[in-house]
Amino acid sequence: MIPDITDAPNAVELETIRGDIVFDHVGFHYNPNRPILKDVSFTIHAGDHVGLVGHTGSGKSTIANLITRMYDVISGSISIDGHNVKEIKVETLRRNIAIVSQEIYLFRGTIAENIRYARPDATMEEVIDAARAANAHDFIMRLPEGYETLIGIGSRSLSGGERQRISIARALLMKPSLLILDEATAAMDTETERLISDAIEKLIKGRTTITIAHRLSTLKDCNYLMAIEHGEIAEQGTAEELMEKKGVYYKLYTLQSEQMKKVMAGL
Amino acid sequence: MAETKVQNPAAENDEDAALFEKRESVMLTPENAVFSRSEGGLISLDLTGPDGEREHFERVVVLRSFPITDPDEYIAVREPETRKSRRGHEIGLIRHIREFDEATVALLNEELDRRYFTPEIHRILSVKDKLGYYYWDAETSAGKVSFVVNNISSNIRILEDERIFIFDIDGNCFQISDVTKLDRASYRKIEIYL
Repeated sequence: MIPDITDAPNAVELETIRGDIVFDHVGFHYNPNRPILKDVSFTIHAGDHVGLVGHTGSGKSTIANLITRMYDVISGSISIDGHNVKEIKVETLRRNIAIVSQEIYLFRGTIAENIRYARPDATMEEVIDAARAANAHDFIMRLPEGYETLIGIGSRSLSGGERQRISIARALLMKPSLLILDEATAAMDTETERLISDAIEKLIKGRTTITIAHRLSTLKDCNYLMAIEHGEIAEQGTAEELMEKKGVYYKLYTLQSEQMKKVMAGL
Repeated sequence: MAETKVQNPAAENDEDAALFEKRESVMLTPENAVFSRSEGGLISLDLTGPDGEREHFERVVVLRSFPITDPDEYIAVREPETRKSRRGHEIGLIRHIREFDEATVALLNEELDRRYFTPEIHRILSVKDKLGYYYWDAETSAGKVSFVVNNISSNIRILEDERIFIFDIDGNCFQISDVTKLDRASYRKIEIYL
């Protein structure tokens, strides 16, 4: 079986990537009758922290999947640091881009093996340092077998927050140039979300970061926002600029603020 | 002489602050850490910070990061978890236990051996399967024991060096250092699970 995504014959290998990303009239669909992205164009500069906001199914996560070449664009092009992603070796992309998402894959093995998977040549000291920065070290050390606790299918089950912190430790160990956070703190209780947010803050430092979220509070640290609606960039700018436009972002903000007020009032 | 501080974990009242109020874990070496046995039989620590400031911990807990493959490395030294302090913060990490003098190594190993009590199985008398639970009778370094194991694929761990660890449903751990050295009758009882 031949995978859909393969290296082009002239694919280049880059030691590191800076994180300048350009979407140029990108179109994508799984089914031709249902376009996911339509003629999407934008630029992300290295070092930016960009937030993608929009309703479920608006196409936010597809943008992340196209940058990492989980899929290839149907039309238009995506370039990273001036190279078309199709002409960059897939290994370069996988080595330099980390995704922390709501869906966390832990394989059957020890906690240390699961973290070290990001960089097999890492020392155990680096594994512990990454776990510590991810606020995972304390809960790991409370387990009777510490870093040698077996996790994954049929083994000790971890909570959603613990699994997420293992995935953040993985990403920290990998030291990616480009970081994609895809609903990374969704469905967490407040304490866990704070621990994870604290870990994510350390992860973001000095890296080009794309945060995908439908909960706007998650995007408070982004220096630039793009609102996606029906597969198109509906608006982009800083949070203040989008509020003034009174468009998609404003509507989402108002809706979520009202919901929060109702929750606080116990309605 | 630098002032000696006595830690008071009960000082944390605000739950939010407690969540992030962590001390910076440091590498513990013979130069900055002195372990001793307290009058009550606990392990105490005297820690000297980089600025010469001294801290006294009446009781510390020692934990192995890698209890199975690297029991002598990356030993975490923590404050105990108490009802008041809730979380026992990590004070530091010992990279290699052998960096310390013989007496300290013996003191720490005594504490670690107690925490990670792992009897060696010398002879397996019987293993019976009942509805997915395995009832073991064995002769061990701690005498004759009976224990129950479930989920065999997760609770019998075989290492590359032929060592076998068996975890029972109560969290106890038993070890077979070299399965090839078991007597033939014992080996035949567990062969199917290996």
